[in-house]
Amino acid sequence: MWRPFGLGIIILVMLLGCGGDVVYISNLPNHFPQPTIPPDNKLTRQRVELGKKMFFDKSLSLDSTIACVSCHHPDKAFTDGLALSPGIHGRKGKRNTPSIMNAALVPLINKDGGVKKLDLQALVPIEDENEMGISILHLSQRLAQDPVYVKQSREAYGMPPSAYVITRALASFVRTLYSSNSRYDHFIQGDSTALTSREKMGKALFESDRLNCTSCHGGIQFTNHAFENNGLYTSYVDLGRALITLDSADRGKFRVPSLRNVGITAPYMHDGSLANLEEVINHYEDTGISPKKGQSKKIEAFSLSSEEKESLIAFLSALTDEQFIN
Amino acid sequence: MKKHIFFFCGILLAGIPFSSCKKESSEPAKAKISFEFDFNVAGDELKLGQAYQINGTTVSFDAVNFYMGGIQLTQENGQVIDLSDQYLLGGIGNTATLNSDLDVSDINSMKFFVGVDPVTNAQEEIDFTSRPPTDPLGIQDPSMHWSWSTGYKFLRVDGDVDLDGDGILETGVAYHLGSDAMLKQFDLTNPIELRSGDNDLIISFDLTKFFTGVDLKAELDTHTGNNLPLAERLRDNLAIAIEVYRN
Ligand code: HEC
Ligand code: HEC
Repeated sequence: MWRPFGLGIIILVMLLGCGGDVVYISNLPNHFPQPTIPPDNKLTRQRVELGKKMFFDKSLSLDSTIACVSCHHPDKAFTDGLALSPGIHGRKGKRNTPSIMNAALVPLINKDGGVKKLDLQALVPIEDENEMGISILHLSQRLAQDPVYVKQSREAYGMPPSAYVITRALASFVRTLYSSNSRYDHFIQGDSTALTSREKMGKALFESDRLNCTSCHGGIQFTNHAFENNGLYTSYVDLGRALITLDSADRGKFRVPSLRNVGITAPYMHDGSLANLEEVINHYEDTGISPKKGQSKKIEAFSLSSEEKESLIAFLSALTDEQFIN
Repeated sequence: MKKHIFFFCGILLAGIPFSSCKKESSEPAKAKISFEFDFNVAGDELKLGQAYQINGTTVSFDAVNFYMGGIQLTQENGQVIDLSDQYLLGGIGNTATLNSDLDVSDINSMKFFVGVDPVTNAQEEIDFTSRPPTDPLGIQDPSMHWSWSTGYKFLRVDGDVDLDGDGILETGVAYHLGSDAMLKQFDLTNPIELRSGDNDLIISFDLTKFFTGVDLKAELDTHTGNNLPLAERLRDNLAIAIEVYRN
């Protein structure tokens, strides 16, 4: 059984509100931002529970073989360890499954930022023929036949299952997947023993002008949420941000991902092409020294000793929120 | 009968705003306009699933739709019939009735666009999931929303082609235009006579013209961003593929 709620990812405080119990994400440390909740989809216990049920339910896919959780495993910070994830009929997706921890804080969803609000994100996997492959109309009709879904849906949104209910409920559940409890978080809150000396060395490297990682992966989420070309390829099969903006200057730009939990979300990059953190660091080292066309100027030329690499990897691994993976 | 029009549960455009019409004692004759979509392949009525020859390729279609909005008709007498807050979903045999009393005066020009205006397309507050099923901008089957790029498909043409010439249409093709840059404006100035009583305006969409210069054996799909040059050519072809005339 998956038990993301039993794991203490978040503590929910419930207050009685009209249309359901309004829940707040309360154990966020001071240094962590509160997510913005859209006015038409206030977080209520009923909505989160309905979304959670859907997240784990394979009947949300055409042939009832794939659930959201098939690709987003709680014990891997909601990733699946594969370069590309299989969807229905064993079809392969086109991008690497990202963590969805803290997705509530992401302004433009997906690696190309194509989805403008989390409340519409669930349509992507549900309708993608390589993922769950079912039209949202068909799925609404299917869930409307299930008395339990009908009851829960009415309690949560005052209407039977519909595209609106499905997308909003799933977004409500995703909004509760907060990760703010890594050793790094303890360290910046004042516990100087939370990081080992090696990890502290790695932190200094990561934050140094020499490596310049924080020009993109800066701040408490380790991302500026910008779209950047980090020099993975000279010519990109997946055009990334340009698919959305139609601007050829955006080819090969992907949203800078958060590095929280990065120690448990291998493989890396939009296509899962880098197997481990060492390969990632080697990539930045190589492409910094011989930059590719279109690559961001923020990527510096540097070279690291093997000890420095180990320290950097140690630091990145200290960004894992141990609380929910156990 | 040259053109079959299938009447299908029309989208009712209720009472258009109409500023300068004062009731007169002797009621003059009034006109009413309906829009009818005539989707065709070089003049032959389009039937889904039927094989056609276009640019030397055998092709059949399983979804052909587009949005039409921003409609403004200017009459000879200077009256502007402003329907710009309404959307029509163009589809095989779709009709929409404009249920209002119009002065009998010929239409001198007609403006509209194929697509969805940038504000509506942005889906910021209201989006396709929050619209009622009767709204053409609500969720459609086949779908007219994009999931991976929040917004509408302005136009979709999906089908299958026969690549190896064995008579079997084995390869799927999909041409989906969307994003603000794909909005296609029309400003037609061919006069259209408006008589008293019912007037059927035919919006004709010819797929052979839509695919002018497109090799259906090689150019198998565009979802706009993944093949922008093809999307732009198809958008530009709309200028010759769509015609509006009186029945
Ligand atoms: C077949 C694997 C698969 C399934 C099933 C799946 N996802 Fe995903 N998910 C992905 C991939 C791949 C991406 C990245 C998509 C992109 O960037 O284009 C993603 C992205 C996301 C994101 C956005 C994360 C971000 O930071 O932008 C959220 C939220 C999400 N998924 C939630 C869900 C929900 C809810 C479901 C069930 C309705 C689901 N996923 C089903 C693979 C999957
Ligand atoms: C120009 C901005 C930029 C700079 C500078 C940068 N990155 Fe990145 N980073 C990105 C982008 C964009 C991606 C995602 C690329 C993709 O999806 O293909 C990424 C991906 C990653 C990933 C993989 C995350 C995942 O979940 O797949 C890691 C790890 C990473 N960067 C670490 C670093 C380190 C360490 C540095 C400093 C040496 C660094 N980055 C410098 C933009 C940058």
